[in-house]
Amino acid sequence: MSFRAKLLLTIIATVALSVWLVAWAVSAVLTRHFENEERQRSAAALAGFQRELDERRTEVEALVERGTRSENFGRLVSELATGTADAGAYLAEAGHLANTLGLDYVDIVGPDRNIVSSSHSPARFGYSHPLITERIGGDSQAGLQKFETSAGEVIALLAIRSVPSGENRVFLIGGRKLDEALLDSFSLPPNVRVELYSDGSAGSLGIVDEARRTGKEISRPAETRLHGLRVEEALTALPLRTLSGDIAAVVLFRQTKTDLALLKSYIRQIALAVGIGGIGVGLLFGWLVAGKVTRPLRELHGTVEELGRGNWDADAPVRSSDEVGQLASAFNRMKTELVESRDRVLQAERVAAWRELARRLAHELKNPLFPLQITVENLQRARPSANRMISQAEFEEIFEESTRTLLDEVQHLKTIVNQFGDFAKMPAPQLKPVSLNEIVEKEAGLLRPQIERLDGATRELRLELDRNIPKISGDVELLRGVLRNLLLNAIDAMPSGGQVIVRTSTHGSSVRVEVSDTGVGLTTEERERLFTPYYTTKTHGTGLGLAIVQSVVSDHHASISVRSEPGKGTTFLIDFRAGLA
Amino acid sequence: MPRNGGVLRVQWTGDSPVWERPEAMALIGDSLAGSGDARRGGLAVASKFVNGAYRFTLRPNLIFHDGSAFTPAVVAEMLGAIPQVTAKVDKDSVLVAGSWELAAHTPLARRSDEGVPVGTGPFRVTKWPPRVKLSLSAYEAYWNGRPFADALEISSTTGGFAADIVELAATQPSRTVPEGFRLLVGLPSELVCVVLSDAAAPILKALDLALDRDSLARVLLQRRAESAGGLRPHWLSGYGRMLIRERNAAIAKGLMGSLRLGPLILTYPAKDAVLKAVAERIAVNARDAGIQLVPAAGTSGPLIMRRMPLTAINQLLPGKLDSPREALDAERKVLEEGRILPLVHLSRSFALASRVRMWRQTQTGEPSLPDVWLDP
Repeated sequence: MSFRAKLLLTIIATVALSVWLVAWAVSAVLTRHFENEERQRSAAALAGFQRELDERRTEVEALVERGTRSENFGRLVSELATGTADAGAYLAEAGHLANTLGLDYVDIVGPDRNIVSSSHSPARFGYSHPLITERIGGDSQAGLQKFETSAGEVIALLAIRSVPSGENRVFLIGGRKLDEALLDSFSLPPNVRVELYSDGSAGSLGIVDEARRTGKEISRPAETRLHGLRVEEALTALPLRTLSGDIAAVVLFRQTKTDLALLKSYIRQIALAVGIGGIGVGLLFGWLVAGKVTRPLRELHGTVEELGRGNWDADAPVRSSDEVGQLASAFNRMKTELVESRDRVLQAERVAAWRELARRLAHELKNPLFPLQITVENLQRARPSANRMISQAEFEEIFEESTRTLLDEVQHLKTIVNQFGDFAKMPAPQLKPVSLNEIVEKEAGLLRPQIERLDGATRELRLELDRNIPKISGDVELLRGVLRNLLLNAIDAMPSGGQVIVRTSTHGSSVRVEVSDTGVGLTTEERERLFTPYYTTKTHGTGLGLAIVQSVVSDHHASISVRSEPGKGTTFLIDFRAGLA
Repeated sequence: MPRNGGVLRVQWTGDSPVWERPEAMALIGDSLAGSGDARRGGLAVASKFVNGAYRFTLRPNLIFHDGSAFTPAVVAEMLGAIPQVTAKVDKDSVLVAGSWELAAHTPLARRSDEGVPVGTGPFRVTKWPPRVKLSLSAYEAYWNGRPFADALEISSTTGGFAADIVELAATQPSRTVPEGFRLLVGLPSELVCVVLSDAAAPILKALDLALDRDSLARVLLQRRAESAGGLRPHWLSGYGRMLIRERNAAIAKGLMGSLRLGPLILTYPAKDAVLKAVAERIAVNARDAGIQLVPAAGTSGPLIMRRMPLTAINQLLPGKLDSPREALDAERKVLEEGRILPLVHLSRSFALASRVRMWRQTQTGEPSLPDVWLDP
């Protein structure tokens, strides 16, 4: 990851973290404030519910009282008292009263405690009424009660009134069903929902079961989802008791913290928007700032790249006096010193090279000169003189041998001069598609007799060629020279015999030629100086062979390397670029 | 004195449109046997059982409301349209095979090209198709004498008393009859029963013992019904009360103890308030015996509430019953099959406006509409 990218990420992370921290802090403060308010509302809701329930009970009591004063009921009571009542005639009376009074349930119970008329279970006429049979208390009572209707068991706010009928009493029971509809009519805070659990089931709401089991009011926090929004709730389960003290139902108050949830949601949305905006702006400014900050570094890096490519004139621009500017200045100073140092080294190397050249020339030229001098001196001594008599034939023999020696040595000198000349003016390679395998086979074929010649040593030449290697761009003659040079070196490295292996192969995107021998090997110093011109480990030779090899390899944009250890042979590796230039 | 004239307005209870009811058709067309209820003769002047078929000799010189001739061929065609009845012409008679009793009591009316029912009865159709009410007018050429009222309008009961004759629902208390009207209660004729499927058949005896028929008839049905133990009402059969079993919930419970049955659905016609009320009462009674019945509106189920008119009851019994003994045995045989549980025989009751006068009533004591005249 680039420095600029890192800088950019740091800026973005800082912006995002800041926004999150602000949002969290605001949210925490608001939550605390809202929770206090919700607690107060919850208490008010419970008190309001009880008040509403009491009002409804009073209302039912008043309605039932009104029913006992109705004309039809009065007539029924008097007929029942005299025993002249036709039960059938009053069968629908409870239904009429329920309609008139606006009650959900009305039962009329005769002096015998049997139902005379029932609005909700008309078919139960003549049967005893459980509420009257199991008297709960006085004649007039009101409260919650569970009882059976034709539609099943219900809970209702019931009021019981009795009026005298002869020596007995006739009962009028009226009620309103306690259901969600009734609860909905209660005036409660808008964020409070009321649920009624009357049939013993509470689904997964353990709080309802607990309230039903303990008979106590239970409060507990919970969570729900509203329009895809996660909303916190305050649950309060309130057990409702019947006139006989049993728990008839549990009312669950769900006080949803919708306002808080919405506010939190808004905060989250705003934080998200601000965060995204901040990140966007941070991205833009960060990009610009990071660009400005990293520009000198990138320029410095570019300068280093230029230097690497050999452009020693490149300087890092100094645009400021800050640390980065100082770094650029220091880098430029260092480069200047490095250039000066390099020039000095080059100068020294050039002098050393000239010295080496002179030494080598002197050495090479000195070797043929000494025989030349001896031969000429022999010739001078062989000339007939007063002091020395020599036959003509004898002189001719000496002359013949001396001139042959002179010509040989002159030829030797010429060879030396040619080699130096060749090295000085290496021709540019004529590149065209060539097959390395073909070059190897041709050159190995020419040199095989020389390599395997029996001169007291046993040598073997083996070719391991990869037939799938691609062609390369190369100069056939120059490459044959390279191979020849390496093979001859291998011969020289194996005076006691051994094995020469020429191998071709593909390595990634390059084609490799290896020439290995099992000869004497090279020391570390020899390996390091192997390609230095005029350096040789042999008693003969100019020390230009491997220098020429390296020059040709370099002209082919290839690379040469050597692996060797003393006594374990040497391997030269040349890696050409695969394919055609 | 009886007088002609006026429009007689009538309201009937029931779920189906009044013009689809057999009583309405009986005003348009007479049956072969005639309406015994109205103490009128029929379209046949003589009948004789010959070789497994009844020969009906037709009343001569009759014409339909549209003026077409009343011939044996037309009668045979109309009778042939009745299920399980085959009819053919034999000179001036018609030979009827199959369900001859049904053929004899079905009001005969054919349809005109416009689909209007055309018969030979006391009233002819004025307006067809009817929408809210059935409008009829007196057939001047009626063979048994013109009806007193010039026109007859029959509609369904609305709950009010905006007619000359208003049929009362069986659960409607008598004291709801307003001033200026008088109550007329007919004889119990319609059987209210429970029809049991194979699945429910085992509970028949227990349910029979659990039922409080007296409360049903006296309280729920406002004394306009009689407890029924048999298929035909007591006034008709003379042995009906013999078949009623005394209520005994304990024995019923004992019978149910050996049966392990879950709740059974007791269906009643959705719009029939009387059968609904009866079904609910039965369910309450049944619970005392440990039978769980669940009343529900519907037309199928293990137990079905049914109304069965006398004609339908007669179809259940063998064709020719010469003595009360034979009739009793026939009824017992049907009841022992365990598919029908009689509950009550229901009477029809009417509120009659003060201007309504009747020359004659039907056999069951109901108003015979052709014989009703209106005071001015």
